[in-house]
Amino acid sequence: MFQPRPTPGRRAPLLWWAAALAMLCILIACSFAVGSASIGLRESLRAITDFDPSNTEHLLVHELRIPRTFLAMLVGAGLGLSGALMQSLTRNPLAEPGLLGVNSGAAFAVAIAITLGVIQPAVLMLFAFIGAGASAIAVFVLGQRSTRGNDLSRMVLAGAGLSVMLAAATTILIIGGTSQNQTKYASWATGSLQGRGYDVLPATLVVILIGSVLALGMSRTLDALSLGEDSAKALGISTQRAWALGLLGIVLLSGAATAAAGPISFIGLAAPHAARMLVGAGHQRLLPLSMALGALALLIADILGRILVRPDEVGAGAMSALIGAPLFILLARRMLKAGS
Amino acid sequence: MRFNLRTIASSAVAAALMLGLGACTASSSATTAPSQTQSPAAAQGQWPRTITDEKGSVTLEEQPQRIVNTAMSATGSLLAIDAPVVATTITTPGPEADSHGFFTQWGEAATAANVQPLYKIGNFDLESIIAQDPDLIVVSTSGADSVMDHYDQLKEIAPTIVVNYSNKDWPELTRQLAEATGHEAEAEKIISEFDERAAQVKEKLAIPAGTTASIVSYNKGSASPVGKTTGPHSRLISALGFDVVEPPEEYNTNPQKRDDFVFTSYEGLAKSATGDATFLIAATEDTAKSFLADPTLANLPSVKSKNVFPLANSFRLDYYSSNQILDYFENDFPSLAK
Repeated sequence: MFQPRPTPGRRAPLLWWAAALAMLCILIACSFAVGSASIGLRESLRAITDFDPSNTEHLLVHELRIPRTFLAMLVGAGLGLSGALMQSLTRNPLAEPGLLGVNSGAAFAVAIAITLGVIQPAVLMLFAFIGAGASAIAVFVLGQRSTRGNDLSRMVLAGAGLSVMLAAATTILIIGGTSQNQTKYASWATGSLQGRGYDVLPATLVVILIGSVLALGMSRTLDALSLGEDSAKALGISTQRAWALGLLGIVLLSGAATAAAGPISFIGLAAPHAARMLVGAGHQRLLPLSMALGALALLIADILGRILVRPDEVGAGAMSALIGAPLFILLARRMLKAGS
Repeated sequence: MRFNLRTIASSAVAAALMLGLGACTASSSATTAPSQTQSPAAAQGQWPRTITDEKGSVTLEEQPQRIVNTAMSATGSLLAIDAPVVATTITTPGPEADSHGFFTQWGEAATAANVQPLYKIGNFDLESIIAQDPDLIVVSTSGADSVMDHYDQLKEIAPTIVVNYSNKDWPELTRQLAEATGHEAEAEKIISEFDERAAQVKEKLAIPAGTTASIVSYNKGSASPVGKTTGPHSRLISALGFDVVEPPEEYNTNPQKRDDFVFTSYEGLAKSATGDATFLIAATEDTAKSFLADPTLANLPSVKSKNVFPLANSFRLDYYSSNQILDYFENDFPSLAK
């Protein structure tokens, strides 16, 4: 089973936070300045300080780049936090939101919505959210041991099974559909943030905020749970209640993220691990840092995705796996060396 | 409760599987060859003849009587010149295709000519082609309907001509197909009729000289093809009196260089569709509304003046869809707003 590293009692020095904040500001500025239309840093900053609606470049910054920048951070934060929650609840280092069938559930619901002719992004998002939630709850129910509590391997199997089934159903719907529907679905499924903006931003913000408050409030419970279910019980924690709350948090966070940006894998898995390597397993620090790292990672992925094949784009979902995986392996190797 | 859930889950799997199987079998039935009873039309011109095509040349011994067309985008051109098409590839029914899977612009003509559906484009089915016993097979070089990978197999069945509809307008393609089928007279007739009609519509429209236009296949949030001045849409729109604006190459997301469209990135669209009027191809009123409401496009001249017009069935231009566009300009086009 997963052995959390002993929590080092160190405090992240103020300098660290300042450096992180500075980096975030630089990244945000980059995100405003980078895209298929060459606008440049100065003009894109002027678009904020001295907005001129008759200037098309300013419009592009305002209507496309600003919302997608915040959406990338929001979605990344949601995925990072829900991944951390998931790994702690299941005490499984490989757990990530996709394991609960969130991605496949959302994809199936989006396929249904597109087949039904839904075009409004907000309605599409609602479908994705409901799909993500329904499949997460289904996996949770199917994964319950018949006698008591939750059986991890059962849940993993249920998640994998349901995902395969939903993926097959999605494929049937989409391949049988019109070519327009196929294009629409493909643009959702690449996890691209291109053209996703204010229409999905407010709803995503609200849901992820609620999920974050819920998840961050569970820090102590999660600390206790990491000692094992029996010890947690001895400490007076109701595992059922913790599971129910945790599941709600995961559904809210990853459901909203997936609904807004399409299926984005890897960040939910890697951000909590990277955070754990930096601050240890104490949830009071682990959870916020997982959020921050997730947000940073997806923002970087989105920016690089816009640069790599300019003027075209690589979806942030594909991009985050592409750059995240090697980075993650590198980190893990260094930690192993340091640990031995 | 849990038992029930499991039952539901497993029956859902079973249902999904059966759906899948059903979809597979449905697409490969109904390809029986009709009886060969048509009276041979009076052959035009000299046979055998040698046709130059994209692959080199093909010699046709006799005038084709049973044409099997795998290049769905060319079916309209074949039907328009009364070429004996016995079967064509089809697509998924939807806004652009009727219940047989024929493109709506020539669906009626195809049904009247008793054209059989072959297979859905993308699902190449050699047997369905053999079953039609063709004496001429038409293949396209590019596009979703291209089956160039199977060219060698096809030319064993019957003489096979390869056309490229992406770099020519419909009259040119129609003339090429007319030569291969011996229907030159019909081709010249419909082309000159069309040109005459276009000239009449142009006169009626009386677009002020120097009015520019952009041609856009609008995809909100992703790359949108914008028509180039060398493309077929541009020729039709300029025949009606507009000067088509050449979209900048800078925003092209398509690695393949094409003569018909620049696949413009979403950000690039705001800097590409700069005509006084914008014609949205394969679009409805809803598409036009969403184009007008797109905040990134607010500074385009056509958006400011609300001169954004959807051209319904205009993605693939052939004799039929081009005439429908003329219908639109003749009957439904609101005059340009100032």
